[in-house]
This record gives sequence, structure tokens and C-alpha cells, in this order.
Amino acid sequence: MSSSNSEFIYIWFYDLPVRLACHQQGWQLDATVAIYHIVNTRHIICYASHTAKQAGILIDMSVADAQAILPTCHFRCYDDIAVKNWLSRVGQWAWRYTPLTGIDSESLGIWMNVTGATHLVGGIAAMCDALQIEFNQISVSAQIAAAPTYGAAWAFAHFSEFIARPSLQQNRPVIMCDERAILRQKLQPLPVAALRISADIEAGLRQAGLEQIYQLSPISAISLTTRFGSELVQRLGQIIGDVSELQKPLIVPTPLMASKNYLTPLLGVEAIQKMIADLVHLICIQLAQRHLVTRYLVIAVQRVDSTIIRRTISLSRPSRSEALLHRLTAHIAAEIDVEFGIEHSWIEAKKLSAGLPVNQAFDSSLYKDDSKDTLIDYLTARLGHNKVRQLQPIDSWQPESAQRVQPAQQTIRQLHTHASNRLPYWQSQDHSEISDNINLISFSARPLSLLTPAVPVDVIALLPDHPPSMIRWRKQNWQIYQATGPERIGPSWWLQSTQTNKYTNNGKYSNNSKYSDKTRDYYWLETQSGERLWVYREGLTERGESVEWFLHGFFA
Amino acid sequence: MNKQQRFETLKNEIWQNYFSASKAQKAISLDVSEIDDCLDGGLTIGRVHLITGSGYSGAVRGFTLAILRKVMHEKPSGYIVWCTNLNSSDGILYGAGLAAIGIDPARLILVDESHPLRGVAAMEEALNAARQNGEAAIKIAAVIGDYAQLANSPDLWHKTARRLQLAAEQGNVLALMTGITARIIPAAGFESYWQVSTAVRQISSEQIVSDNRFYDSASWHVKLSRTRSGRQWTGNLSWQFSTGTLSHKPAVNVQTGYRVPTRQFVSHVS
Repeated sequence: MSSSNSEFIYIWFYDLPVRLACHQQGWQLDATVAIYHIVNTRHIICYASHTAKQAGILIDMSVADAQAILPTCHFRCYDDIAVKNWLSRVGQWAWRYTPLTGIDSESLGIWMNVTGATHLVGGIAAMCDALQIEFNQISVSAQIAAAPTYGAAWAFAHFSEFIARPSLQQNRPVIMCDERAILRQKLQPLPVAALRISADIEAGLRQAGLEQIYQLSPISAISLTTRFGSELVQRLGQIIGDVSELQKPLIVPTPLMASKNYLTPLLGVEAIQKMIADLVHLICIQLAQRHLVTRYLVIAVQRVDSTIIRRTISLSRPSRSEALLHRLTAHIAAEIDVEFGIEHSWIEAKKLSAGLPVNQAFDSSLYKDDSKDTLIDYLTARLGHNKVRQLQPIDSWQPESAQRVQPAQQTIRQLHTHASNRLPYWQSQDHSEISDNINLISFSARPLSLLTPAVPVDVIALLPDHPPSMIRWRKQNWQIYQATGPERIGPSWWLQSTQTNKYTNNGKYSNNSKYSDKTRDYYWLETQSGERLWVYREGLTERGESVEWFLHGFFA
Repeated sequence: MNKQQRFETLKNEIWQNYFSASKAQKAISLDVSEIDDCLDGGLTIGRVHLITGSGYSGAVRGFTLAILRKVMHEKPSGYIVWCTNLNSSDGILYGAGLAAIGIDPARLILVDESHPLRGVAAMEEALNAARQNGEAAIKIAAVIGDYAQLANSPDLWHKTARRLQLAAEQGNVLALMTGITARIIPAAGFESYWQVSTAVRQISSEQIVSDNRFYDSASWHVKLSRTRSGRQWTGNLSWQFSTGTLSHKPAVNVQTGYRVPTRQFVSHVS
């Protein structure tokens, strides 16, 4: 990549994490914001806004120290995924200038290999100007540099303050380096960190008194290699173009497509079934040829009146199994209203990934039974994404927060993307534990049916802190036969914004955002007719709180 | 092929498909010999069974789950499809409670459908998913639907029963239709009809405290009012959570006294 005619542009978004945090949280851009990352359980600040720095927040400072200095500062954990996604979008946007672009998420930048493409916009200077204008228009701070090598462009973008800027007179913070002859001269004043060397090599160089690149020139490559390893010499060669450097460009797989045209309009369910089967067969062949698997299929038909009808199939795990796809698409023919016939149809496979075979004998832990995934995909294809659900455990003491009913495909994806030991699990799932550990039963006895939200009931209790002796619910009086408890569950006081959903005493449902900070005492009751109920008393009389009773669930 | 040969071929086909021993449906024993005798060996897989109760959902759900636990034990790799209305005022299934009685919620797939007709269609789809003509048969242990209120419309009810019966036969999957209704509903077309209500357990205060009996079992009054054999059964069943076994228990005289055992205070206050 490093030929004498190469031209690279590097764009450094130096305050990207801060801006993303402000955008996500709705903070002002001039707010005091600090971004931290977690290092060995310590929260260390890695980026800070200009105003935060002015207030005394320093990089590598702990969050606790920063909070002491500036209590009003907003803190947020570094979101690596959001940064990568944003850079990827900008990298794809930059395809309008050149097809070879890539992201450098560690350094918060994107690079563009604009070799042979600059003349289209009037030269590399004009291209840098255009880029600068585009980013200014969307209020994104960017430092842009151009150079004959990737390393030099990276260095000029990150350390532009160390070099003379003739272009500043033209109100353009871009360092132009379109002549390789002057590249060495321009690099001389830059610090050694501009070589993209590791932190320990940089520390070693500083310890030896070598702080700028020009100080390395008189030292032979053999001496540098002996003292600091081969990386330093390699980086020196790459920055001036003597050593080639390969960059991984941004590639987004284009969706695969197969289509069919018909001379006479296609009519009838059987014909459409065959059409869909043919399309699935064609797309499976393409997927197999490219060793890809898909997670999303779009089947579209164009009627004779030019109306286009689309149907989508979503898979919980990537596949190119023709039998599976036939099964998932079998119902589509009956759903399409063809009217006067179909003259064109196509199928697109999206969300592609590499379909690598798994050797079952090599590692059986990698091979999972996909019967459940197939069942969920089948039901989702026919009934809809939000209709097919699963119970997902959540680590919470609050009974109503301890499970989530979420789309089953989402659960499958979480299982495939997370390490199994990081997922929450159902308590006492192994039933053998229950008979061994009596305390576990008494502490975790939970109902089979949970009322969400809990329903207020009228009760009669002999004493204020006793379980009820009678309950009235749905115009029915239940005399309590026996009772036990209570299990006291405290409120989630740290969730200040939690919404509490309850029925009011007049039977109407209310969704208020007032935080319920009352402690609950849960009781297990059995009525004289055998019903087993789970009720709780909200509020403690010893604290002088008002007391309310709620029915929260039923046992078997 | 002459007419006689055609008749013989047809007779063989009918015999193979409907009466041959190889096609005999497997049955799930309920551990109670009297009930198993009434059912000719137990709950038949590949058939639709009707379970209803009055009052609230606890007894019907509990009895259904007792059956499901046995089915899941018989088919350890099978999944349960439960078609229900997740916004029902009777409450939703609670995973922690299911896990505590030995049912893995991860093997439970819920289909949220409030309209009974669409719910029955979803049940049919789930039963069809277990058909063997695909490349890989999907392992379904049972399909449950909480749509017995459809019996209010007799025409739809009979069609529903017939369609579900056909789908259950083809998929060879146990199907359960459940619902909360106070009245007796027509059960023609169903393999069996169960009416379940809660029953009081005989537990002493000491047992509640020392053995945690309060949480370890459930008791129901069960009436098996329709079977293929024509025999009926009525009695009290007790379900032990720790072992998953059902047993016949005599009825208990309800005590009118109000008993509060020694307080067991458990705290999760942060």
C-alpha cells in the first residue's frame, strides 16, 4: 500500500466519546462530562470535556477523585460499541470519496486511502476542505491530515500542534504533505508517540532522553532494535514509507439476491409456492457458494399493477439450511394477494455472516441442539415476532422485576452472544437441590402465577403485624385457614426513577412515576376452600407508614 | 389391480394407519392406579385433553403443570408451547415459581394471544410444527392453550376440538386445553375432561415450621368426567413438588379455626 503515489487522509475525532455521551443523555455540549473506563475494578477517567478539564478534571484520575473536585460533573462509562458503530457509519459515509476506508476505534479515527480519487474533487486539499466543511456542518470536531503514508497521516492528525501550519492562513487546520521529499522534514519535530509505538517503548525512549523523532535519526537501526526491539524500527520505516503497512478496509457485506421474471403473470397458490421454493433454492445455492449464512430473508413480489409486496423471515441463529428455510417460508404463498398475477419476484438474504462448519468430534461444547431455535423461528414466522416469548430471569429481589417476558428470538440471540456464565439463571432450577436444602425452599417459595401489577385487597388482620384472617377480592370473601411468613423485601431505593404500576383502591389502573420506597412483608396464605395465595403488606407500622395490602400471586 | 385387491390394499392401509400396534399412542401414567385404569393406562399422547376449573387460575395451572412435569420427564429434550393471554387478569406464569417445582422455564415457549380463535390457530401451528415430514422434526413435548372460554360458541368449539385433535394426532404431541369456567362445558371431541378445584391440605402447624410442608405440596379436588372407557373418577389428589408424584388423598374436614404458626421471618432488606 505504500507506493510513491499513495495518498492517505486520517480524520481524528478527538472528543467523540464525550459528544456521544452528551447526545445519548441529552446533555449540553458545553456541560462538564467525564468518560471513564474500568481498570481492575477501578473507574479511571479516560476522556473529559473541555469544560471539565478547565474545572480540574484530569485524564487517568479516578472517578472518586473527580467527584470530589467537581460534584456536578456528569460521569459515563466508555461505550466501545457505540464508538465503533459511529465510526463505521462515518467510514461508510466516506465511501462517497473513495472505496477504501477503514476505522481505527482505538485512536477514535477513520482513514481514507484516496490514491487516484482526489482529482474528482479538485485535489487532496479540496477534499480535506470538503471533509472539514461537512463535519463542521454537523458540529463534529475533527482533526484532518493528509500524507503519503498511513502512519504519517495518523501522526499529523494527532500531533498537528507540533508542526508549522502554512495552511492555517487559509483557515484550514489540515497539514498537507503531498511531496514525499519533505515528509522526513515535517516529521522531525513530532514526539515519539507519533510513531504509534507501545507505551513501554515510549517510556523507555523518554527515559533515554529521546523525545522527538529527529533525535532517532542519528542512531542506527541495529542499535534501536537491540535496545527497544524491532517494533520501533518497523514503525519508523512505516511512517516514512520504507516499510509497507496493510490496513483492513471497511467492508459491509452486500445482501445476496436472487430474482425471477415471468413472461406471463403468475397466478394460483401452488404456482406461488413453487416460485418461493425456487427462490429459496437459488439463495441457498448462493449462500453455500460463498460459505455464508443468513439471519434475515426478504421475499418480495411485484404484481402486474407494479405493487410490491414484501414478507420477511427472521432467524434466531444464522443458517442456510434449505429445509429450514422452506419450512419457514411455506406459509407465505397463502398470505400474498396476487390479484391479477405476479410478473417479478426476488429474494434477499441479509445479516450475513461466515458459515463455518463446526466439527462435532473436535469440540462437542460448540455444537448445540438447534431444535428449540427452529421451533421458535417457525412459530415467529407464522405468528409474529412479539407473539412468541420466553421468560428471562433478572437478578432482582423485587418479585415483579425478577423476570422479563421478552421475544423468544431475542433470548436465543442473547444465549448465542453471551458467555453462559454471565447470564442470570433461575433459582433452584436443579430440583434435587430443593429436597437437600430446606432453607432454600422457605426463602425462595414463589407462586406459579404472578399478578402484574399487584392487586389491592381488603383484609382483616388480628394485629397490625399479623397475617390476614380474612381477604376480600373480586367480591369474594376468603377466610384464611392457615398462614405463614413474613418474608420482608426492601425497596430498590437506588432506582429513583422506577415506575410503580398498581391498581388504585377504586379499581382503576394507575401508572405513576412516584417511587415506592416502602418495605413489603410477604405472607403465604391458605384459605378454607384451599386456595393458596401470596399477599404482601406494604408499609411498616413501626415507622408510622400507612399500610396497604396487595394480592401478588397464586400457588398451585 | 382388480376391485378385490384394491379393497385389500385399502384395508391394510387403514389397519396400518389407525389400528396397528406400531401406531399405538403412548400414555403418561399419573401414578394413581384408579385414574390410569379409567384412562386405559394414562393420559394419551397425540390427543387433546380438557382441563377446567372455577374461581381462579391456581388449581388449573397447578394440575396442568403437574401433568407437564411428567411429560417433560418422559420427553427430556422436548419443549412446551403455552398459548395464553399474557395480559390476563389471572396473572402470568412466574419463572421462579416454576423452577421451584421442578419445571425449567427455559423449556417453556409462550405464545401471547388474547383472542381465543387466534390462540387456537397458534396451538394448531405449534402442533403442526412437530410433524415428521420435515428434515428435522421439532421436539415438542406438549402444547397448552388457555382458551376453554371458546366453548361459549358451540359451533366453533366442536370445530376447534376436531382440528386440534387432528393436529395433535399428526404431530403425536400431547395437547391440553385449559380454562377458568364455572359451568360444565361440552367435551365431545376431547380425549378426557378434568374439572379441578382447590382442596385443603391436612398439615399441622409444627409441620409447616419444621418440614416446610406449606410450600412442598398442593392438593386438588379432581373430577374426571369424560374418558374413552366411559368410566369416571372423583377424588382428592395431592402433588408433592419435591418428587413430582401425584397421590390420592382422602378429603379433609375443613377446620374453622384460624392458625398462624410460629413466625418465620426472612428478610431481603438492602
